[in-house]
Amino acid sequence: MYVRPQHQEAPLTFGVSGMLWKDSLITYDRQTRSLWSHVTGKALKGPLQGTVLTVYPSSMQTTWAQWRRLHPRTLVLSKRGRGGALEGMHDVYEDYFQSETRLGIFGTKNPDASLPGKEYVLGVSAGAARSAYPFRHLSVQPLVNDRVGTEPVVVVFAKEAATATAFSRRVGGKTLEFRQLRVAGGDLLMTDAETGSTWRALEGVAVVGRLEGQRLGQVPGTMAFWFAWKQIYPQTAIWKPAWCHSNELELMLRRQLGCRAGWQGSQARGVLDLRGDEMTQVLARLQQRRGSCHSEREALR
Amino acid sequence: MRTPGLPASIALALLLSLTAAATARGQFGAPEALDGAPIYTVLPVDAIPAIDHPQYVPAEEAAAFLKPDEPVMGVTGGGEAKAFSLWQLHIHEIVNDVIGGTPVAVTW
Repeated sequence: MYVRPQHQEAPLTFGVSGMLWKDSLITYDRQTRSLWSHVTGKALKGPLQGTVLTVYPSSMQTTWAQWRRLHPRTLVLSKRGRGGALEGMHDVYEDYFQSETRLGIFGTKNPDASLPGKEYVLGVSAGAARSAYPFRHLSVQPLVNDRVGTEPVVVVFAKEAATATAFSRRVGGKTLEFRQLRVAGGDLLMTDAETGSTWRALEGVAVVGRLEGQRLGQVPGTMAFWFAWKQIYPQTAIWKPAWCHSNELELMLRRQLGCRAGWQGSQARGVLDLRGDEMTQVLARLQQRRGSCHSEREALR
Repeated sequence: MRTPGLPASIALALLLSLTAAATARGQFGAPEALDGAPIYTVLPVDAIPAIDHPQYVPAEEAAAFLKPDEPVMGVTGGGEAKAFSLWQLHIHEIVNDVIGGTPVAVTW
């Protein structure tokens, strides 16, 4: 999503050119007929060639139920098309999205097999740096304190709504670390380690504590298929949880053993349901691995 | 288009190249490729119609035509919140709008 810049005292308006580049739309502006890449926001050709659009950061891809919960008084684009009939009542791309192997309409090959081509990622941009947060990893660790280039970011993932969003961790000259992602009263919340303030995690706003009222700046993040993101940004980093094993149960037990974790969820209750002997076995395995886990994490620093 | 005396494959190639010239690439003078990646012409210009004058309804009315797990793009600014169904964005690709006083292009 982009800010439409002023051109001769009116904002540019964009149309669909009918062309594709790197499996992404090329748009054009009606005023100058320049061509633009929809992913990079850069004018590729025409009088405005080289211009880069400013990203509008305050946007999020989520479900209707989740969005309405966050913004009860939201407006919604009407589905009445021309002639008064409702449009967009189903997903014309449903087959494409469910196919694990079709990449784009020209049968593009996955440019990087580190991830499957159709893996959803949150592609985050900060300065010149690009980082992809795969949904498979976010499903295991839905709260991530990270850096994209030099920018400290926090990535928040709400699995049921398939929603991922990224904020800067800089607040008032300090850099915060976030912990304890949890659902309370239907809202996704998190806590900062520095002040213990409670934040609404998908909105990046503090609601309780010393930092109440503070807002985190949203960092531009796009939900994309891995193959498309990698094509446009071959230099992208891929984030992985700094765990030895992406097993949800072990993650919870590591917390109990004192390894650092940034996640708390309904799975915690599952840990308490283990029978005593199962718990003993898992703990014993974890103790064995604990040494190698710590040394791997040290190596990652 | 009949081109008597030419093999069918060459006739077809001529037809396709004439068609291509009449479509987007020709109109915009777009190059064949950029950064080593080809530019493909898939549709005529504006075959996918961007929305220039978006109409909005309140959440209560929208609930009648949106499913709870329907994917939407949500946008906020200047105290406003707006949601765009992705199923609908598939049909239009771009909405030229203003939110909280800022002109924006909602693209997906």
